[in-house]
Amino acid sequence: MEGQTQETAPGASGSQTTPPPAVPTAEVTSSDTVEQDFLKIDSFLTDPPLPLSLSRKTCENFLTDKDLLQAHLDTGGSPRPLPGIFVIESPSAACQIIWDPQTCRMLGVLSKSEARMTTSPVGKAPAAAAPSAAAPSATPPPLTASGPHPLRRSTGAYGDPVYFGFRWLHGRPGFLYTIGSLIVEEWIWLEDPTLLRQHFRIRSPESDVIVLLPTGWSDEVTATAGTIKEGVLTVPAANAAEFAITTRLKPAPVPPAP
Amino acid sequence: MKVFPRTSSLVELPMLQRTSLLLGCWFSAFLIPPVRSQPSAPPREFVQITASETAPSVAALAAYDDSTAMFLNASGQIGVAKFSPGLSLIGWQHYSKASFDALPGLSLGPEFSVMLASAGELTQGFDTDTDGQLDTFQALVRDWPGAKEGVTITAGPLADSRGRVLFALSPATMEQGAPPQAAIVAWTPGQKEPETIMSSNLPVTAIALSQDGLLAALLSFPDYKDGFFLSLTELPPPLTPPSTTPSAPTGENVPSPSSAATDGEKAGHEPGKKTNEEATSAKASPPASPPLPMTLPSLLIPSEMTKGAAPRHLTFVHEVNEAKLLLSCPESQMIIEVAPEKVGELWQGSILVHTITPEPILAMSEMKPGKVLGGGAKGFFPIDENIASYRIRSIRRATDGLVLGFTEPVDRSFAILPESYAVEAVSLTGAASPVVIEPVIEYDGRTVILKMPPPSSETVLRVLCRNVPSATGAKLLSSACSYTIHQDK
Repeated sequence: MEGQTQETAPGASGSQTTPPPAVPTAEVTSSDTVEQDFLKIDSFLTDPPLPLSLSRKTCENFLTDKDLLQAHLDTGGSPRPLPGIFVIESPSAACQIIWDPQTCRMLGVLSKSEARMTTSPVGKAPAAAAPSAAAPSATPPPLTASGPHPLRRSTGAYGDPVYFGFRWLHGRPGFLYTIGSLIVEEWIWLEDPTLLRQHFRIRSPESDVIVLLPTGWSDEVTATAGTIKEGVLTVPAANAAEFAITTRLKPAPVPPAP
Repeated sequence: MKVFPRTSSLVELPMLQRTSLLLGCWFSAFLIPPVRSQPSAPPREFVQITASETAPSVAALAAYDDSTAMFLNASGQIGVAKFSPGLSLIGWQHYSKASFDALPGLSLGPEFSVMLASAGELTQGFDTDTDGQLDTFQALVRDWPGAKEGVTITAGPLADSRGRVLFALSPATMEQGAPPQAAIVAWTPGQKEPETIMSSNLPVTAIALSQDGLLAALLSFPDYKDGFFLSLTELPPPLTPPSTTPSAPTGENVPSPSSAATDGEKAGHEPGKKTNEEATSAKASPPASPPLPMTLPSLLIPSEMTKGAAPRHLTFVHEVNEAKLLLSCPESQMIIEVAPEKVGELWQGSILVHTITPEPILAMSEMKPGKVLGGGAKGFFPIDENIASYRIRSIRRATDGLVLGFTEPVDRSFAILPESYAVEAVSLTGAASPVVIEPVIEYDGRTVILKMPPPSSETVLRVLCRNVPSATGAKLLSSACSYTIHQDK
């Protein structure tokens, strides 16, 4: 969708344009710990397996979970559109990843045909496009979030999360927010059209980090650290500074025969 | 009107320095290297923009220097474009491929950063790794009075010389029983919420700021069909002194204000020496409860002058000794020119047609004094006065009438005839009465004085040059112009 309408800069992929330098790797003094940390942790940021696009849009409210809806009700208590949400997608994947800066969490993974975006102020936002020819024929079902924030049960994760901003490095988005005393970076991308990766970086965790997995999806989840039990991932404090969760997006279920 | 020499708006605004301080705090917390705040930071690479004849769509524009502009395209992506001295496009490329549901406004920040606004957020984008692409986007403001009740940003952002970022909010009822009011607010780095600096009974759809602090706002009143309201107000000073303390989060990772000050010294402040802004802030004690200025309509742009099309975008253009305001009406491709004039405490002035553009203009920015670049769906267009066209170039008050300036000598045989003109005095109530005039042509042939009895205050003089061709027989680009008088000089 966005890829069909975004304008291509002249020479953007040609040899005449000076290629941007990679993430700096030299001339960092040993005392420059912030820079060193950045470089070290930045090592996971190589070009993603799937090219991704990132856009902010207003999306029709598709939420049904009461915990999630609470932040998206109008003064009359009715669901209101989701403004400024992030949409991550790939031309070769049939799904869109929706991330919400209001609640600082991934709201879900929707099929492109399901997500309905409204017009943006500066121009006509592209309508939800049909999956491209390269997309797999089996449309992944929606993975929708539910319940409290995934990090809510972690020590120090009190109060409402506060969105700070986002980063876009090497074609991958990373969302920055705080929840209580936890300072969190959540990087999201697709390893392949059906493999979702969430890479968490938590600043100086003092306790184990507890991640609530989407209801009904724990069998499809693997993690680089910690243990999964009853839909909850517990990452020991020693490993909690950086860990990743991989979710295998299930193939489309066969609808029951009438 | 005083005109400041044009300076690099990127580095000399005190606001921008303070913004850097704030970002330094947050970036440290998120392990993001501060933008070039360290002496060891590598110099920014030059990005070579490839020459191109294809043009991007343009929905917002911000001049970086005489020949470079940042822009927002119709997909909400930020780009950078390079121009020749005559403002012909040389080339362009994306500055960010992320798309934003942004309003048609763009403002530049320090260190090649860019600010933009959507309905629910004021955002600033940074190129932290100096690779020529924005990679980090901070939500500067997401909360303001009424935000949870659906109040949204409707115009902006604009950076002012006092270190603030201005934007407009949709109408909201702040007190029970009170009518809803729109607002223009100012956010200062370090403050959690912006402060309201002006309120308005009408929604604000676009704002512009002159170099000496005159704020122009387009006010929306769709039910009124005879014209379009423009507000002119001098920007009030900050109500509260700016803070350098980040609002959230708190914790050991966030430097204290004192350490932020140290960062500020790195950023260019001399230790112990306050900037003019800071000195002013330190001296000024916050007033108790000053009444908020109202953005009242100052001028009415007659719809006959815009061919019924609403002005959508406005920008100031600074010429010798004066600043004029240009308003683009994309639907009619008209560019309207307003010359503001302050009399007493009120702003009044003249309104005339500046030019008619070859394409609808959706964005404008002054690239250098007097030179304005426009943009639209089909690319960039210099907004020239169209010297080849014959038009009314100025209209001003004189003690005994109105002085019309033309771009070419007029045909004296027609211009000397009173019946070649129709002048009306329109009162605040809308009542129009004809004004008897006596044309006098000056020696240069380009200036015509319409002598008339002194008009009363609170009057709009509408002038129609019904039959005033040029000496060479050219027809006027637009025969209409007007002059608003709130009070006599």
